[in-house]
Amino acid sequence: MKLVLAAALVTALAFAGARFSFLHLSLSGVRGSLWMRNILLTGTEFVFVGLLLGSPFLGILDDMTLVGLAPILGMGLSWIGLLFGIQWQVHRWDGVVRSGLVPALVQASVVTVIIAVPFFFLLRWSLDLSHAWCLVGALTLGAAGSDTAQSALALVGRSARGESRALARLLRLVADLDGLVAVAVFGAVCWLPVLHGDTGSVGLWAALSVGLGVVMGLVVVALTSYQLAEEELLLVLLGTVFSGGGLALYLSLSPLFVNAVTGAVVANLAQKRVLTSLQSLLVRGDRSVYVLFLILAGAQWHPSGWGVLSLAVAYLILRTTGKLAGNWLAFRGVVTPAVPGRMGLGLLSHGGLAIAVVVNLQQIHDGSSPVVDAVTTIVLVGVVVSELFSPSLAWRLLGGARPSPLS
Amino acid sequence: MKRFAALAVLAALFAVTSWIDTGPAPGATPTFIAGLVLLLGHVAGHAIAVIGLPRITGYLAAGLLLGPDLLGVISTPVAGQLHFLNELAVAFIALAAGAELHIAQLRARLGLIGWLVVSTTLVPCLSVGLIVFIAGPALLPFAAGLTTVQMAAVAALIGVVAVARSPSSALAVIRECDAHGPFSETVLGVTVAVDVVTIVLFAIALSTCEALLSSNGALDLGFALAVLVEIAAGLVAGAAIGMIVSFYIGRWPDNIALLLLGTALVVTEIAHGTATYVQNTHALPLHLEPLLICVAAGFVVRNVGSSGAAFSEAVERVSLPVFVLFFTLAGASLDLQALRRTWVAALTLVAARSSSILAASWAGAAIAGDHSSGRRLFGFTFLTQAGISVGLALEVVRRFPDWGGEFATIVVAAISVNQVVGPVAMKYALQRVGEAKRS
Repeated sequence: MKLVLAAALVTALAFAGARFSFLHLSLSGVRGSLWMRNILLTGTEFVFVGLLLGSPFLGILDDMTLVGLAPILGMGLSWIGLLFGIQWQVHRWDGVVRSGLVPALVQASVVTVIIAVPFFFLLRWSLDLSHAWCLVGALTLGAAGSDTAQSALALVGRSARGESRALARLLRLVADLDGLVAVAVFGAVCWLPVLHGDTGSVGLWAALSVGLGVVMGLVVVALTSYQLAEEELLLVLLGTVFSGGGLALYLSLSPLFVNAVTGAVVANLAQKRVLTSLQSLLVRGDRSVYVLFLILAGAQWHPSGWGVLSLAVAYLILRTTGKLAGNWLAFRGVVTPAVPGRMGLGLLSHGGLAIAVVVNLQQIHDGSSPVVDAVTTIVLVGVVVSELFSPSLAWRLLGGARPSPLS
Repeated sequence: MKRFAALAVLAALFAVTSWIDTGPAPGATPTFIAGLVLLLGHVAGHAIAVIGLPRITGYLAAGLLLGPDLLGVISTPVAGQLHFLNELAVAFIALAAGAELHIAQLRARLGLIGWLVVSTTLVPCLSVGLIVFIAGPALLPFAAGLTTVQMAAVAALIGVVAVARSPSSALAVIRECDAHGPFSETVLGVTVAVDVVTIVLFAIALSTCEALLSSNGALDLGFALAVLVEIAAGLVAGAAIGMIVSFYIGRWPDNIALLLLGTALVVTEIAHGTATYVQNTHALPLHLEPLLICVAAGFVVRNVGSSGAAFSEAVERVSLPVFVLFFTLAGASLDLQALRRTWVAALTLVAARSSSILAASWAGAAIAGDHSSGRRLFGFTFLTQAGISVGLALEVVRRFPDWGGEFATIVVAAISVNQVVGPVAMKYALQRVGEAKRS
């Protein structure tokens, strides 16, 4: 009963969220507040809606209900992973993408290291966790922090002029590509034996993760090699998303990673018409899945004490430092007036994949634990604060052109 | 070939995964099974279509294979975990069925629909009931100790259950064949209407039987009255929800699929919530049928306002995964053990029901003055039976615990046969009439 009510409520909110946060929202009333526009654009407020519905407050989305909704979360994670992976059509990359790939991955890797190393010790010191759990927490934070969301750049990028326009394009390219590090690092976190009851080895879980993704990808390629109508493609897509996600969760692996591998296999082996249709179907559902995630991540959030909030501040500082240092390092050979040394300021937007990483950790770790609660609080606070400041910083970096109005 | 290879790979993955098991995350098993059901249903549907059978038969076969009687992949606990998705699918299919009833197209055939509803309700109910009454213990072993009055009550209940149809099966076959035209519209209109009539008849029959079988013999019309209120409330609730959805789509026509999902969830919640509330406060067994609410909502959206066509189109776009999920799970719930034990009685009921429906449809169409080529074929489309009839059988178990269990076993076995045979017969009729655009 309660499960149905909760599901109805979350669906209604996801629907309203997808509509009002992303589609036709007229933001004339908040024209002057760039941060407010960004918050509404990304739907970040739904994290708080989820928190309100969760067990600490209204209790509609309590822990039992969230267990019942687990298949929806599994499906959502797989959906995001597949959508991410299916964009990696290696043979269709042009020179621009090829030249931007390595710097994007370098900057994201630098961010991961700059966040993960200090947090390994910070978590050990503040939560008194074992080495293995500190590694899980630190790497998850590193993975979440390395990704750049597109929202701030979408908000201010279109109004960039002259050299700033080239920079805006570069920023968007980096933001497009650096998610690979987040997905791969978190995928690797799930290979740690501590998440599998200390059974197996990193090599075994890595092989299973990649193997599962490749096999599911080949299954999709085989099933879509026939002439299929759109509704049949949707059927195969949903079947794949549920199967891949379910199998990954069954093995306590990352549905995000496994399905990203599946997506990459499909992107490079499926027929072009199939790929186009699949991409279109995935993008169509993406907004709703994202809002659903924000709500459920908020509902699973058990805000920890003030101590963890200080860790969140450390996370924000480390992430900003990482983005600046990573971009300086990655683009040091090409720093020109069009690629300023402080371009990392344009890549502070934080959202989608980071939240998916957190939800994935919550899913495979089954319930609340100090490390999951701490990581959730740190990342969600990080996302909210980043979304407040990132558009203004990106705007300044791009020369202060007026942001384009939303319609 | 590639489809089967893909499935073999999935099955191997499942086997390996089960072997590795390290304490799966919550929801992992139902998530995977839901995916497997969709992919296996897809492959089985295509495989069965090669030999000319409807895909729904393939979905049922896939479910049967995965079900507890054969491979046991969809075990009873897993089926319980997937119940939520199944309920959602029922509500969604009912919305789709309501959206198929376009009053502007049906108006010209209201007379024919009316006569078909009357004939295919009365004739099967009376003839199946009469056969059961005459055969008595020879057909139903549990009836050996029953008095004549009790036997009449059992016969009446089986007769009413025989009337029930399956709008979901009918809609699935119509969609699969891409059938459009007066014949398909009439069939769907009659099927939906007969299901509503069946609920009313069942309520009356159940109240009468309880009176006949009770010690004081007093007729308690409370239940029948409650059912009438339930139907009226369901129609009103459905109409209200339909108006809201219609208004919404009219203003903001995108993302309809998610809106439909939300609507199905809200309806299920309203139905269950009302049932619990009325039971707790007034001790009345009022249970709003989500199916009825959704049919009414779909009907209103299709016929009120200007968004009906967009709604219908959106429903059609996302209905295939819902059908596959629903019918594969239905296949998994088919009780082969019961069929093995009671096949003689079950097949007798199937034969009596089928022949009476065929005769009644022909007669109904003739009385209505229908001279189309489809006149002789209507009966083939009314053989499908599923969900609601199982629900009715289970209500008998609750009311008459002494013999209700054996009653339900035989009835469910007969329904299982109708569930498999019905879609095949329906596809045959749609093809013969020439309205099936896809074979």
